[in-house]
Amino acid sequence: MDDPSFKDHSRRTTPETPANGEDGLTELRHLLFAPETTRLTEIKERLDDPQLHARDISEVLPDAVRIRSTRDTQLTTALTPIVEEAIHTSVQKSPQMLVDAISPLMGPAIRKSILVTIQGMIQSLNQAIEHSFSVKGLGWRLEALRTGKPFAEIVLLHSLVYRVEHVFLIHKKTGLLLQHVNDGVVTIEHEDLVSSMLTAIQDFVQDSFGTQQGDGLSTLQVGGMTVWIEQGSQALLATVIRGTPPEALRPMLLDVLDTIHAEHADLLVLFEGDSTPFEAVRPSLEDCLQRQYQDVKKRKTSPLLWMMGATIIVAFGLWTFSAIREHLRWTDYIATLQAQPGIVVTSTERRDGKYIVVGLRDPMAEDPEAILATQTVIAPETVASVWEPYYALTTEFQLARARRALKPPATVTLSMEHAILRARGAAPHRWVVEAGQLARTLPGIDHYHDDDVLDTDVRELEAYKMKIEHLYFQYPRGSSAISEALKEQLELTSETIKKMDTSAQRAGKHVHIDIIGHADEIGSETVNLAISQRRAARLLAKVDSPTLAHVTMTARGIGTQMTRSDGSSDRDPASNRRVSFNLRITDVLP
Amino acid sequence: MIQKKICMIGAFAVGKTSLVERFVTSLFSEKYHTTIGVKIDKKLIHVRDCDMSMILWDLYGEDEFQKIRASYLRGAAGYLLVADGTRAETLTKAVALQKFTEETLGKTPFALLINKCDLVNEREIDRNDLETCRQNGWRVIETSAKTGEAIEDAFLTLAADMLECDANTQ
Repeated sequence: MDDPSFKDHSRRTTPETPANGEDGLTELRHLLFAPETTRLTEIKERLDDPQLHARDISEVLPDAVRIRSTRDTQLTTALTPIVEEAIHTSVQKSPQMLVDAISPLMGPAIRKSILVTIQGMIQSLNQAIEHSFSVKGLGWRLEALRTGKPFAEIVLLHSLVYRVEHVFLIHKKTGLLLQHVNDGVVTIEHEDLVSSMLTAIQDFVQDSFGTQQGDGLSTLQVGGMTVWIEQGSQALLATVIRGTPPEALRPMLLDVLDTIHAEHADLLVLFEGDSTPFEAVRPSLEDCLQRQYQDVKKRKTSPLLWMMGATIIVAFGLWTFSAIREHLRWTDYIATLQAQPGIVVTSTERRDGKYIVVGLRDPMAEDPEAILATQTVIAPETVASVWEPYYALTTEFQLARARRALKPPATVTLSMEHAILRARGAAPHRWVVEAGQLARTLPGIDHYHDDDVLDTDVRELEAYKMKIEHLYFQYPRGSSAISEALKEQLELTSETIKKMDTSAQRAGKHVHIDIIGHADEIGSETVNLAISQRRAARLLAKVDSPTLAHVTMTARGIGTQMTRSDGSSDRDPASNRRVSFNLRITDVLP
Repeated sequence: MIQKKICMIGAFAVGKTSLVERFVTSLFSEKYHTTIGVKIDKKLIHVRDCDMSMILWDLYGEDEFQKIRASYLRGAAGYLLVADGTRAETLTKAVALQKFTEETLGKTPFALLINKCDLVNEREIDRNDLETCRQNGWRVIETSAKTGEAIEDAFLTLAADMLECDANTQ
């Protein structure tokens, strides 16, 4: 009985008690059945009154729907066409309502999809540019190196038409930040301060220039950044945009701001500093994070550029080829020098466009300049050589150096083994002597052996000696005169002695000729001795000459002391009437 | 997190910027910087179980050449009137500014800060005047940006007043 309607109704339907007791039965019935009657009347009213009936049904309808929907699908089947029709009607009547309802769900999904697509596009674009050698691409690479930013970021910045980086929803009256979203690339700290400062700037401009209320600052331009401020009655929508935004973006921003105003009018009016309810507008603000990049297409390169490129490549190729060829020639030349006996290259370098080679060179080695001129095509003026002299101690060079120093005649061969120089063959006495002296001064030669060298002058001298010693002059008995028959032999003897003098001079020898006169045994010994002396003396007088410098002669007679010992002297005494020669060759003392 | 706009109002060179600096960064500099226009700072505080972001609008000091713009005051949830304890005329100015602000904002929580209270020997503002202010319902706090005295208290008290005001309105 707490129901107020009931109370009211009871008050309304309770009749006045008859004061004078008109009808006792009626009164009794009334007393007995009044509550029930009242109750029935009320139920009837509730059934008859659609409003009351609806209210009663509304009390049980949710539970009824829930209970029925758990039991079977008939309710769903029954309601489906009605709901569809309702949605259809609602969309036709107010599409925005449906958009608002599903945008919190659709917005993030669409954004994510767009983001993935853009990222893929940017990645492929980045790869395309990364692998291109365009002048612009190289320039961007240099910029990336200089600024330390990733190459992809530089590419994006250059190919960026515009990008909304921040969106601020600002409470107009207080300047407090209602909501803020950014693109996730560029973040700022203290966005609430930015919000207040934007409002302060806005106020300053309005006050300073006396603009009318509502004519606020709409654009700020700072470097490559643009701030657009859209004015609403309760809130501002400030967008921070990098690049040059299209004017078509503005209506879109205004639409968003209008929608926010329409949907959150009460919140905006009653805003006291709590921005939590404005989380709901984030999807709308995120829709404002628009961006657009240049369509980076490969432009058709002009033929002139191709030609220039080709020329550069060809020039570069030629230069490279030339440089490599020059380098190879240079290394070949150095290798040739290194292979030369008597040349040691100690360093090479390239300085001031010139090749410089430094090393050691045996005077007998090949001339590097000649090698450069004859065996290479390197321009001699591009090479500077510094050679320090040295003696190469290889066998080849020592032999060559010995030949050069000793100048052996063709009949002499030189050999070298274990620092011992050997001479073999025949040579004039003078060479033999001089070679013996010079050889000891040659570098790298410890010993000089010339035992196998035949002294041709001495040999000649020996031959003359033998020749003269085999000569003999025969005389008639008792005669010491040179007969006509002996004159030819005398000339031969004189001639031979002269040659011998010359030969003795060359051989450094002195020859002493002992002219010995002989006699046969016929007659007395005294006579024979005398005649033998005369024979020797007269021959000496004939063959001796003051021009002889290396030959001396003495004459003596020995009578019969040295008769021929063939045992026939008695039978042929003529053979002992003669003059013989005895030669003695001695060294000339220095 | 609730945000509140608070304006610092007062004559020039009374120490508004120094008070904000001291409150926000705990630093003080003897060097005087004239505020041109408005300087905005933020301080997060916790008062009465509530996290609050105080957006502090440090307005330029008013003088004979430059009046405070009403637009800067708009939307402020509270304000601090600042006077220089060593210059009596700044209190007069503060009183005038309070009247102007109240006309602009309506009844709004505020506090009168008598700054530079460390300069005891140079004090010019009469304590009786302050007492009169208190009797008029003003909250008067003597502060020193140099020593930090009562600064935290001043801001937190204003924050509490603002929250109370919100509660009353609801």
